[in-house]
Amino acid sequence: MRILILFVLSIFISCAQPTTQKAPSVAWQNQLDKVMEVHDEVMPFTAEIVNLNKQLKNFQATHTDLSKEIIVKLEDTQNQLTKAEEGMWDWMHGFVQPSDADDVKKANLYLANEQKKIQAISENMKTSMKAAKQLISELKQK
Amino acid sequence: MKNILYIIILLSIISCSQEVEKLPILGNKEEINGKMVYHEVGDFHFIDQDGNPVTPSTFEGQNYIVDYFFTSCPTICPKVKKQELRVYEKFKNNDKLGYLSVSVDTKYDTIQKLKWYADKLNIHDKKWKFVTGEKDHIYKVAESFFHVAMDDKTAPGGFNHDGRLILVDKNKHIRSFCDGTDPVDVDRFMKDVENLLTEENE
Repeated sequence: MRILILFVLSIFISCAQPTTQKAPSVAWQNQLDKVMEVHDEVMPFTAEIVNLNKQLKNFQATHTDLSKEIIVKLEDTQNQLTKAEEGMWDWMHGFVQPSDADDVKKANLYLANEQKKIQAISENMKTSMKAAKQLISELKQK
Repeated sequence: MKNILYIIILLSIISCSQEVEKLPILGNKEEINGKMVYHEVGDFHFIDQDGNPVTPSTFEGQNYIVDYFFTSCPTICPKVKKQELRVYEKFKNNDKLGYLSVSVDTKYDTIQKLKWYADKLNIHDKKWKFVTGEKDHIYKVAESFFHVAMDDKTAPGGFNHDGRLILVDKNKHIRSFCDGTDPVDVDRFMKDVENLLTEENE
């Protein structure tokens, strides 16, 4: 009888042991949070990029006596801003959040790759904004 | 017994005569020729999910709630839309309240995509316009809607990802706003919407 009780007890204990395999959503959630943290930090900058682009466009449109060098610089900076902004829209359009049905390893690999992409987009946005602000400041001084 | 009856009647009269708190008009104001002139939202011209033009005259005689969003937004917008749907459910039978959701993604949020999004939210109501338009115009109009809601007025932009809901009255005045990601703030906002609708019925 004692053996039977111990046997039943051991079954309960073994069933109550936590599984080492995490639920998929938990296993990649941290990775997803890191990706979204970068996204949320720089996404509001898109409005500022549009604003800077508009300032440069207006400057070019209202100044007819610009040197070739300045025109090239203006156009390059505008292109850089546009490319940086579009990079964010393209990334969001292509991004697919993993689901619980996905293989955890694959989901983590996918998110690690997305982390690299969003990091690069963040850098592009910040660099292009810095360049545009610098150019605007230079043009104001002239 | 008679005294108690009098008190009950008196209390009922007092409670019934309580006026609805009038919402302030938000934003810049200036006195011109002895008359106070308040900030009004600017003109706009957009296209909605059915391909119809949307201008201020679309909301003539109506109050409306504005938000800026985009369909591929992975974080803020789904939270805001969830709360906005709560507002919509509460007031959906009131024809004096419309909804204007402006997409900032002019590259991907086409009319078809906006229609798909409205369907996804199960919105088949002419009162709720999901709109797109020319990029510079969308951003210019945003300044007129959101200038009251920006905490830091020296920082341009940010409205496209901060989840605000703005309440505009039928005279183009901004009367309230809230953080659309915060259910408690949205509860307060819903009371403001109710007050505005009641104020106009009086």
